Amino acid sequence: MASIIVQNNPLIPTNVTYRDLDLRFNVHPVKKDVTKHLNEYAVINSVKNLVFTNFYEKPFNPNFGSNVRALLFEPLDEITSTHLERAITEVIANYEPRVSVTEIIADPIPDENRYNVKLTFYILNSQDTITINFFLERIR
Amino acid sequence: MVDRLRVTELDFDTIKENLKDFLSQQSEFTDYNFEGSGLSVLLDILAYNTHYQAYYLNMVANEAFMDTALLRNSVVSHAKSLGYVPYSRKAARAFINFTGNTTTNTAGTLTIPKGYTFFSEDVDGVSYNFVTLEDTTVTKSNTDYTFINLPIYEGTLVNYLYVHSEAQNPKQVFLLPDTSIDTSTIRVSVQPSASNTQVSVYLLATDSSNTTSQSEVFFLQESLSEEYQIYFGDNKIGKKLEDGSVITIEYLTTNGELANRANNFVITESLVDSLNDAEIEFAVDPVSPASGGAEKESIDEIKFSAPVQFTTQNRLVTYSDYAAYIKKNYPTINSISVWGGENENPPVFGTVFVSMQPKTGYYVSDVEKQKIIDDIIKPKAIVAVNTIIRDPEYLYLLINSNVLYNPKKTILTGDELKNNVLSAILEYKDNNLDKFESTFVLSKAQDAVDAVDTNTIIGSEVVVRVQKRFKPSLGSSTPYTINFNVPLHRGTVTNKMTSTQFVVFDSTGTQREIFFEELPQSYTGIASIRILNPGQNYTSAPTVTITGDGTGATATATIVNGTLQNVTITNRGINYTRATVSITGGNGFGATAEAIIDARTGSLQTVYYDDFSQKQIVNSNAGTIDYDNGVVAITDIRILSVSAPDGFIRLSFESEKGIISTAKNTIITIDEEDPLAIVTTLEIV
Repeated sequence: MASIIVQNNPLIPTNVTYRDLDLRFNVHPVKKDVTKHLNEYAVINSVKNLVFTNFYEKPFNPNFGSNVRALLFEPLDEITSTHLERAITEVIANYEPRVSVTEIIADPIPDENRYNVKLTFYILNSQDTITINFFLERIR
Repeated sequence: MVDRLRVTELDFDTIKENLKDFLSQQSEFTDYNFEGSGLSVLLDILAYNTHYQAYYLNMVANEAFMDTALLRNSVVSHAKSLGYVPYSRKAARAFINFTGNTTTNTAGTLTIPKGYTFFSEDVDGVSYNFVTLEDTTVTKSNTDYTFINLPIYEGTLVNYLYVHSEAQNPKQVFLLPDTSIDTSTIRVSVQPSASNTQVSVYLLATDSSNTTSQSEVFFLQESLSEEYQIYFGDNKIGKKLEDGSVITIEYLTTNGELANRANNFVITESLVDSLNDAEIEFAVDPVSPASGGAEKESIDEIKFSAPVQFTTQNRLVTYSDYAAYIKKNYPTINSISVWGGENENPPVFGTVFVSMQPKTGYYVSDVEKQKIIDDIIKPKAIVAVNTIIRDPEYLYLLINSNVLYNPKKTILTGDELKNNVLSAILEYKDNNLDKFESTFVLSKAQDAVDAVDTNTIIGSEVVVRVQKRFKPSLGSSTPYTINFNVPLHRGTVTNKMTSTQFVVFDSTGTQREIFFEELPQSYTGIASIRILNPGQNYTSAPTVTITGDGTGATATATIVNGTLQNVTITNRGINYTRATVSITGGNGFGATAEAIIDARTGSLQTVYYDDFSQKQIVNSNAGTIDYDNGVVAITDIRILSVSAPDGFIRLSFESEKGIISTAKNTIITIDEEDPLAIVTTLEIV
């Protein structure tokens, strides 16, 4: 559905707080074990999961997720983009307590039939804001 | 130290919590608590999988036991292992007399073929199809062909023809693609091959102990889709089908209980006799309306019946054997009571008494009773034990409730409150009465009335009267004994026995519409005086004085050799319930005696009111009432007609007791259709 480019590379972690599993199950080149996401990466990954989860995907919790997929089938205009921004902000506020969103802009690109999304947030207990840019595009 | 994972929970959320608790004991991954994390997705999958398996296993375990199984086919399968085949729908059966009237008396025969159809009159707006299941032939008597008590069954005859192929159907299972079959009507005939037309009829295997390798039997089972299947033996138990056999299966599909009460049949096509006489006039006379139609056994009924049936071991020995077996084979009964002849008065040894309450109507017809004895009971009962089916006797209750209530505390109108009281009493009836061996408890009925609305109803007084109905034989002079089987209240002016009206000739030969009236005061005097101590030294007859709560009783004593020989009552007096006897004078001493008071009895007279509202007595000695035993004996009376449209005369007494219980064949009920059955009066506080 989309790809993610992380703009601000965070600092090299000195203190590991968050450890998460990489759902792609890539093999760690050295340890030959499943790769882990640490700290900021773990959080970014979590935010990404939240944004890309649609309703009814999580068992026994049908309202979990942002449901952006449904919005991508709406007319590609400013109104839908406002809805998109709102859906993403809400899902993060509801399910990701580690993050505070400072800015979200979903920019409709009618020619390419997609939205460019710029999401800026900071992780609680951390000074650095993180901006991620991604685009949301209907692929079927 | 990693603690063990808890595994007892079945619910998705709890399983997931358990996994999180488990993960909290390690430091490899820490994000399990955040819903967006990859680990959370993994936990979802794990928890969902565990939950799914747990649910599945739980269901499998449920279905593995008869008590907990929910699916019909599981219950049926468990019942099968107990040797129990749940009963199917039963077709309603009616009996008719069928006559064909011809113009000549030339000898001939008339056959009603199998499948010959009759239409019934409408039952709840629907006319039903009734068919014969066998060819029946009679010969002409004078000019008439007469079929007496011809049984006809509701439904449609269906035929299936299968050619058995050993290769395609090695288990020899044949489906009857219908859920509304009456399985007792299945007829299976087998022809060895298409060319060999030697047909043999196979019977349903009921008892494997007398089924041999050559028995021509078929087995019946309910399929997963609630249809029925028949299958054949394996040349060890039951004869096996040969390859290429032609199997004809015929059965009745029926509407079950819907067709009960169907009556007044008409024929749908004409018949021709052996003389080819096309001028026969046919007439159908109803003998007994359709009854015995029933739905197939429900899951709950199977769960109840299968183990009970297993304990009877297919024999009728104990009371419960009779109850379970008859109920299984004649499912249209609501309640059944079985008692031994030794409990009769006088005892009738070697006889089992059965009484059945049908689901619709009040009585099982006589023809049906004989069929039940011949087809159901006799084949399984112990040799030389007789069975007698008694009609249930209904004891009707009339409930009079007087309810004191505060109208300011309710939004209900008086009529609505009355209706609620009515439904509360009917609910009490549905839960407690209307079956054999039931007990009516006045205080519980009163509680039910009070509980209708505890806020507004301050209290209530419930009076219960008991009513018996009897159908007189019109036009002939007959005595009647009406046995209430419960103690009756001796009436006073306000709560005497009531009787509905009927017509007789009075002494002048005029038709009068009269009713029975209770005379409670009669015969409650002193019946006899028993001498306890004859005393001594009497020279003359002492004086006998009777004191008590009644009036008028007197007696005299006779002496022989100075002792009291006899006390003779000269006046019985009236209204005594207790009395003491004192013997004084006569110069002797020591004589004592006690008075014996009549059992509480009353008498009946027949009366009517003339044009001037004067009560006129037709017969002042029309019968007696034994209050303690609850027996009303009516002397010979010739009743010409009965005023009630149903032909019953109703006698109602106030009940002596607040707990009314019955035994044997008495059923306590409340007639919902009788407007006097439940009467509620409201009193405003």
